[in-house]
Amino acid sequence: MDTRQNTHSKPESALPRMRIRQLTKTYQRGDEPFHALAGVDLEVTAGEFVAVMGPSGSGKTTLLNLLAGIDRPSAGEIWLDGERLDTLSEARLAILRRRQIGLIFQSFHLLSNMTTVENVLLPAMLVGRSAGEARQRASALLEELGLEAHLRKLPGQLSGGQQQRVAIARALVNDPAVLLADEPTGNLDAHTGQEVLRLLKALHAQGQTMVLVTHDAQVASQAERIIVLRDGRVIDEANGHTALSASAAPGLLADVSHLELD
Amino acid sequence: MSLKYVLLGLLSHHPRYGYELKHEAEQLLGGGAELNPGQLYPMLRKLADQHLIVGERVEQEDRPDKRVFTLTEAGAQELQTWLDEPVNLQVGRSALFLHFLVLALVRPETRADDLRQQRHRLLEYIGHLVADRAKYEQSDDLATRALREAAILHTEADLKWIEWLESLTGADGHLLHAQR
Repeated sequence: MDTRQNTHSKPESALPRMRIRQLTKTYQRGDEPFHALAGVDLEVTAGEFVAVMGPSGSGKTTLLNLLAGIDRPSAGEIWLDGERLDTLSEARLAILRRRQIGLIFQSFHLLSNMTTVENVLLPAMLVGRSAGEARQRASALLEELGLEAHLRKLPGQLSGGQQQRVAIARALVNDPAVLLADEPTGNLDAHTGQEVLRLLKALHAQGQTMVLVTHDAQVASQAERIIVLRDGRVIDEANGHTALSASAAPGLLADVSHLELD
Repeated sequence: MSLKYVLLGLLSHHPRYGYELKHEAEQLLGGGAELNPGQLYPMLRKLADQHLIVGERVEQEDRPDKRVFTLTEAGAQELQTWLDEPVNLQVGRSALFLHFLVLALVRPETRADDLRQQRHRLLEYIGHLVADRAKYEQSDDLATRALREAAILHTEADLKWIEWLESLTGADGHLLHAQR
């Protein structure tokens, strides 16, 4: 049985949800070492929504893959709820990843020969939930995301926006400590991308901790905190849009768009 | 953007009084635009002088006379010519551009910080604009939605421009090519 279920929703402790220290990833590029990440520090508190922004090649996807345990750092530390990830064995890391980390990708990565509900329940079964329990949880999530009419469809029968919502349901099925998203709106048209962004904001409002990497300023601006990467380093950190600042912007459109009439 | 064609366009439907033109032009422009009478009435006078419109006095009891404006044949033709011609891109030297140039002139040593501050401001703008879009999409008129979208996309472009400037800038804030 999954005894660790929901451990992350205990009362807040002083520990950050996620903490990385001097994270470095070096590749060999010909004779030259290439630093995809060159000593990044970052803390994410429980319930926080952090966006990592930067041009392509800045190291953001490398960072996300390291946080997700898909890739291993060359140096530095990654901690999740007080547990160090980068020194775990492959097997233990795989288990932790399934239980604690939800992943969303630009190209959805759904299994094309499984139905919507099967795609979502699979990670729940992999952590040891009963088939019935997993199916119930998967159906409930899909319903919440407005996909109740599509439970038995294959991914290929769904639109891009629907597929990404299925992927989000799959990422959430084990109540992950942190949801990691790599360009989640990158493969969607503008309107569908906005819907997915709204959905992510709603999840954050419900307390979901999220780290999202994107080159898209529209998406990044909706996080609480924006980290800017360049050449594998953090070069800037900015506040994103919060409910608090939302009330202070009447007439913004008039302010930013000058009426220049001659 | 020229007020002239906004006025000719509004008059192409039917004649209007001055205060109607002000109100309708503001509606058309969206986003809470306000036209000041000091802009509007001299423009109407100029258009009348050019015979693109005609202003006729209408007497009112107890009140000063008002004018009703009508589009002339020449005005209609000028409007058509303008509408038929696609508009050229005007990048222009924006306030942001000039701000950057003068900062670089006066205190190049703070360039990296100044660019960061500017990014923060732009991210704040775009954050509000995107959140407002989600909030008001259903209720706003087309002009306001179009204006917001333009503001969002221009802010995105400005953020990329800052990224580009940063790519020229070393960790110490100096332009890289200047060091070579």
